[in-house]
Amino acid sequence: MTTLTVEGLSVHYGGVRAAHDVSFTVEPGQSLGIIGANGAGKTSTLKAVMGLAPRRATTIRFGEHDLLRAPAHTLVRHGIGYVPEGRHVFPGLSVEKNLLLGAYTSSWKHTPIEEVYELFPVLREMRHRLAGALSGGQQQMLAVGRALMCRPQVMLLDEPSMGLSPILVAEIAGVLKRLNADGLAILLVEQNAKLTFDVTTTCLVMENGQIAATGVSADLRNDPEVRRIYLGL
Amino acid sequence: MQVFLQTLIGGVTFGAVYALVAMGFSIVYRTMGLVNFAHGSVVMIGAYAASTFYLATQLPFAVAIIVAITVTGLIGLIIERFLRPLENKDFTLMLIGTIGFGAVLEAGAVLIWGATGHAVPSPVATGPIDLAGIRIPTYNLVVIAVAAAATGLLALFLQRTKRGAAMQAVAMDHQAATAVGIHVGRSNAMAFAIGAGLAALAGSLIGPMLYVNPTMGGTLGIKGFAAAMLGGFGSMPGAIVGGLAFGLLDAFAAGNFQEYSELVTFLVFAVIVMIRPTGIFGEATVNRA
Repeated sequence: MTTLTVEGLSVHYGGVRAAHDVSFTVEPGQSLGIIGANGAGKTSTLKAVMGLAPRRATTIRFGEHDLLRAPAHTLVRHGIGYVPEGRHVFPGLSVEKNLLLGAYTSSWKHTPIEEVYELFPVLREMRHRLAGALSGGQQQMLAVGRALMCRPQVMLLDEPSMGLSPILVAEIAGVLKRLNADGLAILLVEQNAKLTFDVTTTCLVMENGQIAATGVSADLRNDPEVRRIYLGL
Repeated sequence: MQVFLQTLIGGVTFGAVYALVAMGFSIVYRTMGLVNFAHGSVVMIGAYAASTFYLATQLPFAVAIIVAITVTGLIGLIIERFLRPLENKDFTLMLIGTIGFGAVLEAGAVLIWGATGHAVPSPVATGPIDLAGIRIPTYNLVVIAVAAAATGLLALFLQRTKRGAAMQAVAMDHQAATAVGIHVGRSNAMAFAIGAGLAALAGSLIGPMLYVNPTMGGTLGIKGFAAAMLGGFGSMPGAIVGGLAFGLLDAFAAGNFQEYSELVTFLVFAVIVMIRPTGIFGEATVNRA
């Protein structure tokens, strides 16, 4: 089992600072959340870990693998699944092709596609449809399913609740909890603090590109300040 | 009626070649969002490579075509490698880079083969087939069959293989493709190589029907480009339909308007594109915003 370690991570787009000196670790089987308002630097942080945003950092490691030097397309081979913000399924390809591409780096003869179909039965029904023709919720399931196809040890999710109805958000939350209980480590970035507290055990709060607070999710849920800002209570 | 059918067959033959050129434009545009302005020159190099090899060795024309595809495929890889550092940085420079490569290839052809060009004897010895009073040159049928086979193979590759699926994925979403482990640069290189291979196939097939010369790339490039636009730039079925449509348009214009045929062809083309700017199969491809 492997730990994801991020130390001193900064993200700059041109002259604009999106994240500054962010550090955290995701232990094997742990579930860590990052909450914060729009523009707090959550997505940039996640993209930078994946090597998809311009970054500077002291350390980004996954176990023995130095991700700081690894090209972005090699991360999936180490067992890092990524569910991008806005789902980003391949719209012109079938649901099944989308899932298979999640297992691009391994043999297509032995993929966990059956497990994914069991987790999301609707994807099995829709497997010959074009991904672009699915509803937002189905696309989100497809994006999660695609990330599971590489048999990840840790999964990085960016705003999986975006644009979904409360029922679907609850369904996604249920799936994430189940996956986590089965040993998958989860790094969940969300504006939806309620979902994040529900799924994760530890949580970071980001403000203006920096980590403003860290705590146990259950404690944060009851923190009056956090409740006021992020839950609107 | 007879003239009509004869023109039809001529149109389909040239249309099949335009379709090959258009597919080459489209496969690069789909994956990279880039119009490869060197494409016409690659067609010309393909025509020269095939005809020179064929005339020098007297080996079957099919061998000459394979040699031409290999040579231009390598040229495609070289062009992509030169442009790669600019990917996601300076799109305009990439475009200008392809124009520059076109000029280099054309100048190279003049250096190697001279400015005058050469004629290529028909590689098919049998006379035209007589079918209910219509004389169909056998070579025309060969061209149509080879183009159709190449199109079929390309479709199989894109739809049935892992690499083909990966290439389509890159065309739809660079970041998501990277995240699932696809090397975008390598995929782009393959698109360029396939595009160049299609160009070589088109060039070698059309060689015996035209006069092979250093400027033929300009004409064929423009016609293939127009065919791709007519079908919907970036769409593979569009490239095929656009190619055939443009070939027919070209053939019937030549039959009815003689020296004004090019004018008529491009006038009709311009009107169609004004009415339907996205082409017949217009679809959304890589967004470069």
